[in-house]
Amino acid sequence: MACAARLALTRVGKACGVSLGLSPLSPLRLGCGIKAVDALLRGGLVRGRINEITGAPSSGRTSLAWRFLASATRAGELGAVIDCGNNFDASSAEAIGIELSRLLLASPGNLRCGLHCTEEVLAGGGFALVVLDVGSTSMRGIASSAWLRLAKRAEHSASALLLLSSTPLAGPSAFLSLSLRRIETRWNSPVAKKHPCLATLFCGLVVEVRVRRSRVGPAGESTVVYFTSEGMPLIACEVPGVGGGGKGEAGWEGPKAAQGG
Amino acid sequence: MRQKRRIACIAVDEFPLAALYRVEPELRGRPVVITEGVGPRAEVISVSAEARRLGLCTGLSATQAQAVCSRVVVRPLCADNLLGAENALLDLAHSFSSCVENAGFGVVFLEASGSTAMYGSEERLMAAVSAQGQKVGLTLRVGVGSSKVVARLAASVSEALAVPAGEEASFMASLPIDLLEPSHEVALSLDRWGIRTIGQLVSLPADQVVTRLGKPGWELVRRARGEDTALLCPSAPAREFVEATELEYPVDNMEPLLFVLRALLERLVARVKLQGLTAGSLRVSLWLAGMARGETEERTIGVVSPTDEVKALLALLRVELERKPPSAPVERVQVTIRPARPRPVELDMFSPARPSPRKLAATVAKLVAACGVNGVGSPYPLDSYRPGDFRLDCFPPARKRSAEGLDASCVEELSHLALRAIRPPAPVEVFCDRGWPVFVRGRGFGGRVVNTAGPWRVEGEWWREGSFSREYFDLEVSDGGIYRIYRDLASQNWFIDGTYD
Repeated sequence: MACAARLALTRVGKACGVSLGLSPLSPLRLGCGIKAVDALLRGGLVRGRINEITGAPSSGRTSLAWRFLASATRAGELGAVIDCGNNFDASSAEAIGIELSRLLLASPGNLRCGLHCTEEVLAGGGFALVVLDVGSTSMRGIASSAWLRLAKRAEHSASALLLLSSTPLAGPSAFLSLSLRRIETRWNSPVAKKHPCLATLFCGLVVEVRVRRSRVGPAGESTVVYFTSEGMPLIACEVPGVGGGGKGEAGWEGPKAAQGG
Repeated sequence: MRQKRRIACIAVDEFPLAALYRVEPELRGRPVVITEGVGPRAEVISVSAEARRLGLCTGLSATQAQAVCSRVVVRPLCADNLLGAENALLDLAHSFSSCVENAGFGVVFLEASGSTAMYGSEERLMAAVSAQGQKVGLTLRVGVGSSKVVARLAASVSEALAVPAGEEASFMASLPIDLLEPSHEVALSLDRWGIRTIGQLVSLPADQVVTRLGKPGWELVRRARGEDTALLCPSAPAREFVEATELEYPVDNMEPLLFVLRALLERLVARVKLQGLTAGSLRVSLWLAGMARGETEERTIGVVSPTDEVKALLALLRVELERKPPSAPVERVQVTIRPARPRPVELDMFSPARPSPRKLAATVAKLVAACGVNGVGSPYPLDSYRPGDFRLDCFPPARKRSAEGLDASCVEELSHLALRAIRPPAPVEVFCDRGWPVFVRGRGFGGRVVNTAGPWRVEGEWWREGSFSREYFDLEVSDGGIYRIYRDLASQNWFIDGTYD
């Protein structure tokens, strides 16, 4: 009914020569908001298909998956995360931009139950993106036909299904498969090395996103993304030998104990 | 102009039989008799039309009935079936009117004045009642009249009949006097006088009838004139929906028990839907073999998202019974649903299409059945300094939470790093040099520390039992991972609580 009303208003707007500023209908692709990645994927993840993101631990795969979720939930759509390993962190998810009130989180405890939950969510419908986070759960007893069944479920729904794992799982059932590799870890340490009393900060990861398999474009293309980390709060302290406005040297601030209560 | 009063009567023929058909619909069309009590001498009190055609009637014993027809199905009168059918009938009546009287044994009266405004005509009202009756497994007769007596007579003679106001006398004149259900003595007297129809009774002088028959005669005369001897006495709608059944033999297996529970849930949900409600919570009462009379084992299951999907409710029951199985074979089962109003959702013309609230509630209920009540919901970070603290709200949340953090335009510019939490935090071995971690070893990871950030001290909730005081470090380890670990300052133990990914 909402779609019919939107179309009717668009026609009215055109007839009057007025743009009514209506939001676009749900696109077939689901972007993440990072221009380089969206360009690499020719728009983003594919709805109604299995998409896969794989990578070693600390390769940035979770950050990229949460970016897709942030993009979907910020656009007003619903998202779901089936968290088999109970690894979801609400604070970092919110910092990435996920609208948590539009996110359904389920923690099944094992992959078999996780597959069942994913099927139920896809069958229920209404979610733009469903993320199945396999984590480090055991694959024992999971037949390869499970992914085929999941692919069929996704086809009948309008949801993009995203598998998040350390190794490729879906095989030929995956419409799009990305692999992530950490190129560099950034630490804010050049000044700290000179002054041991200064704290080092973990700044983020530089990650290569490569298309491992794609049915809509060539495989092998890649791009580089920088994910920044949100450090602990800082306070100012006097740093010996480092003057304010010294060329090439930052005014360092040390760590603080955040007192509760 | 003052609206004339109209009363509808909903009646169920052969109520014990109808209650049985509601539970065992496969018996429709077969010769069935209901007996009072069990055993070969139990008296037949209700006979199906097929059994009547074969020569069976009330008053026979069970043995006699089987002798007349060997393929007759004999069932004892079941109080659970009767109560369930009676409650279903009341729920149905309450879905049409707020003023409902339970006359007992399959007869209810409801205030139907003004029903034409909603249904257009009384015929449409009667058709709607019959249709709803099919949904709860009952075949109904509906009559509408200006009094309870007239409505009851209309339901007795026809499946759906509305007696127009002012035509009660002509309608009742030719009806047999037995329909007014006179007492045995009064009926004998009337038979001796040759009074066979209601019209004949009305034509007699009322004072003469009262002189000879007394008060019962006076009440009979009033009913013959279409006057009620008592006002419509409304009853309040039930707050809970209950269905019970006694099992043929004690059951100690999950699958047969779930089969029975499914049937109970289907009947309950049909009744709940009549009122436009959904299931808010479930309570299962089990009578177990060997338990003292009146003792039951109970399980209460809260439905996180009220739903009317039988499959989702059955899944919740299965999870609960598997978690805590009955301690003995089950002889009788009762399921109670406490209803809840479905949560309304305000649609927005300019937002993407959402699933219907009922469908979403059913999906969430199925997830809760699979993951547990504490495993499904919408995450909500707590206002706490303890890193990683969050709770799960019901999904979707009842009130929209304020969107904190970045707005849509900023999301594109900054790409934050996610943390994969490890729950519960796992103990690790950390080797330090002058207070700095240099080697870390834990379950599934370990290596030399390549880079370190920290420490950050976090303390909180000192006024509670669960106070915490920790020193956090971010470590890049030679195995390739980047971890967040902390040292508990109270115990001086090290733990890992997340991986940056």
